[in-house]
Amino acid sequence: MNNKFDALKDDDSGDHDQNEENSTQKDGEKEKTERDKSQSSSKRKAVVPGPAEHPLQYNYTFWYSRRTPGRPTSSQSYEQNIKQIGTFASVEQFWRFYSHMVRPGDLTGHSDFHLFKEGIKPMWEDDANKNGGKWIIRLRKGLASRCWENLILAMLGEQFMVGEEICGAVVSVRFQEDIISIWNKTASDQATTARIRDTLRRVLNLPPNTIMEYKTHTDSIKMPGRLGPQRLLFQNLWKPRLNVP
Amino acid sequence: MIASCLCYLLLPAARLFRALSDAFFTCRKNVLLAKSSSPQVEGNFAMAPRGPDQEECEGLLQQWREEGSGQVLLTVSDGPLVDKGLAQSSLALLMDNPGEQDAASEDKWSSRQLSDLRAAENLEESFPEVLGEEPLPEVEGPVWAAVPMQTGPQYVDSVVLPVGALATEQWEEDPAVVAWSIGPEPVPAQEEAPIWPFEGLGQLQPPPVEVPYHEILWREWEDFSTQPDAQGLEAGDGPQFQFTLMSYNILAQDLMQQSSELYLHCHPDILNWNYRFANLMQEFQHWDPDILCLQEVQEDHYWEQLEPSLRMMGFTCFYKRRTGCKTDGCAVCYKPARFRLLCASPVEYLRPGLELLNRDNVGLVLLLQPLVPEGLGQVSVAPLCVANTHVLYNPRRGDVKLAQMAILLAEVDKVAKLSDGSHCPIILCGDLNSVPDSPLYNFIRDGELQYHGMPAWKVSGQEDFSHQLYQRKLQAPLWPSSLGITDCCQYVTSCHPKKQERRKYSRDVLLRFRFCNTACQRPIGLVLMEGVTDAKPERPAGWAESVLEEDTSEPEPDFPRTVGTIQHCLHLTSVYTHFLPQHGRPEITTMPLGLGMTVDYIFFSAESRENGNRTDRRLYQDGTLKLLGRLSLLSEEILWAANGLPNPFCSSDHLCLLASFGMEVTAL
Repeated sequence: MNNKFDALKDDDSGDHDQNEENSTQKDGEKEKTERDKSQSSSKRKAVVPGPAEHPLQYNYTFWYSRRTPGRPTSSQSYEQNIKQIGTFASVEQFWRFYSHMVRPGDLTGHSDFHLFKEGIKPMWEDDANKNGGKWIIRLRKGLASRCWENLILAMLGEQFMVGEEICGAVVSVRFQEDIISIWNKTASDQATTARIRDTLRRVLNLPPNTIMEYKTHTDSIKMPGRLGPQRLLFQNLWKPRLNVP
Repeated sequence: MIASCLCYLLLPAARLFRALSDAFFTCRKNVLLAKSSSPQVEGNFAMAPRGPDQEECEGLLQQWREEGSGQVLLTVSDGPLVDKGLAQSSLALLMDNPGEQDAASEDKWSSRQLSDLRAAENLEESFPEVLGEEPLPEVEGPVWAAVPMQTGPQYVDSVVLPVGALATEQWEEDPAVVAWSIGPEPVPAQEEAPIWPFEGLGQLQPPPVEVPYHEILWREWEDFSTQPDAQGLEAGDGPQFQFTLMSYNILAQDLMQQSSELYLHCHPDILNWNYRFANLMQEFQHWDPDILCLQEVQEDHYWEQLEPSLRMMGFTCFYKRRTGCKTDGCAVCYKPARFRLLCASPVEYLRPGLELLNRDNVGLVLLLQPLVPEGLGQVSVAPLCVANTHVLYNPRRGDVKLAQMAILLAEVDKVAKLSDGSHCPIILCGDLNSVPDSPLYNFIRDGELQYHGMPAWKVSGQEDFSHQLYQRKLQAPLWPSSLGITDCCQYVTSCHPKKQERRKYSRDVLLRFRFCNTACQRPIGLVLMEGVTDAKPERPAGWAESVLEEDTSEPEPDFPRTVGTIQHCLHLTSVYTHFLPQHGRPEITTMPLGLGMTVDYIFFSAESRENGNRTDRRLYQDGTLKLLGRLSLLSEEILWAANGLPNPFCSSDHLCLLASFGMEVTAL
């Protein structure tokens, strides 16, 4: 269970089956690792701010993942589910990728955009994530594009002020709702998680009663099966929705 | 010929006379010092009047008494004077028993001294002519100050402190033997006239002293170490690391001369630096603190006199001169036998380009590791952060004072922060140029100040400018974000220590680049995925690229600011209570133009207590730092009686502050 594919799935959205076959995952993982190696070594050299550009504190990589509807998850290879879109080092380069990508709200199907620091894979098992966790905010349909933009602008602009703690951010487009989350390295560091929460409220302009949920990745790993369709339904009925005007 | 012979005879005699007069004065001061008990002294305090010069000194004193200045109290301390009980006995008691004192002191007179004295008396009449005819040569070399020190287990009996060019061999001799022997050994051809330490200051002989300064300016040592604390437990029943700290604005000579109108009440001689220096050194030696925080230390005096002398006393000294062309600054000195230096941070409050921070004041922050005596075994003590500062004087510019404090508090926060985010024990002291219960004072004590709309003059409470038409008002934010200090008085960068300069961009700044030229070109190698990466940027018609280059070159640090409130998270309380209950009068630490006020403080870390009244004022109890005692301050009335400050006895326009602390020692 404890494999990369699990990690990539949004656990709370989960209308998908969690019981994939491990063999295919492993193949995929090997492939991925090799590709990563070649990519990261070349990219780290390649991705630098242009001469007159405004450098970011870190380089970041956009990822995209999608579960093809109708096809069983088990037959999908890792490669088909997650793709690196590109890595950038400056404000200008960020906009260059961002403006050539569709808005999360315009994505179709069951898709995710991930934006992680270069070198951190958007999965629980990554060294940067294995002791980490994430804040999760559920959004009613129609809000994802704007909230995602505000979230990643705050992350790229170093607004969270938690040192090296931030790993990346994810927006998950689902059938009835969208979810944005931000991952940090140390789930047990309450000062950091509290600061991230407060910054999120500020940059997303969240009303004070918005429910924000913090989840450690180990919890997500331990309880992969708890997120069935019934649970989602339950949550849809009972979770308050974010009301952004 | 006769005249020249007379000259040869009279010159040494005149010298002797002058020397004796100086000695007399010094002696009187020493009597006072001897009487005041020092914090650690448990045993006897000795004047150590064993050397011949000491006896001469006493002889002179005797002469002075015989001449009928009997209204002035004489309390020649006869060796074992000061234990705590005697130290705290009242002045009145001493005054009631002059005979006893006399008897005690008279035992010490030897016939030789008395004869010397008579010789001096005989020559006295010729003295002025000699002075007129042949001015005495100035001593260029060492200026010596005779300084008594405490006895007791940890103190040498009495030490002659060499000043300036140091004769170290003198220093190394047994202090008890050297006591009160002054300067180099008698010079041949002047065997009758011992060279006196203050010879070089011959012209500075103070006016005839009528005021018993040492009585008036008596300061008691208040001992809290044996008082039970709130829980009824004896404080300090566990092992403690104890130390004393002095904070003292010693009045820079340059500043004194720049505002000489403040010192018209003083005889010029007592304002002479060498005279004051000897007095100050005597005070340092008498109280012998483990940490010495000085303000208004003039740079040349520091390097040429103070630092060498303090080094001889066993101090390691750090100095930070004020910025600009200012000649004075702050010094922090500690005993390396008691502490090991972990770091030293000079703090400048000058920020070029910021009108709020265009002043030259400075601070100095040290982090010291207490050295526990080996006898205590395997124990550990937290480090101690010592911050010393002299904040801007200008009573109208409370805004500047607050901003300067914010910088110091941010530095202290950084230096004192432990790995778990808490702070080690902190002592923050110095001349804050603000009075007790002023907004600035309350800000330090309560950790919070709502300043918005407050007139700037109100911050320090030094003077009332409410009658003035134009009053500068404090506006939020008090300081610009570019200072890099939050409203909680922490460096923005201290939140992420690994990177000094984070590249921060606000949302607005980032959005300005949305349609820049780079952004509008499709990234090379971007895989085209239908419905995912096939968007195209549409630059709005009114998009102006020129805007970009203006103010983004140096992105403003962007962090949340509170509105009209500043805070700090160090829990600090004052050693002094700023009130003398036994007199029913406020304590004062300085009195410019005869107006007494407290502007000097020693703040220290304490634990805040639940405040039942729910007022804004914080209450504190002892934390890891326990206040064991303090040297009491004086009231304005008392200093009036002593002719204000400085006076012949106290050589600064401020009083020194002295406190004793204990730190928790935990077994490993």
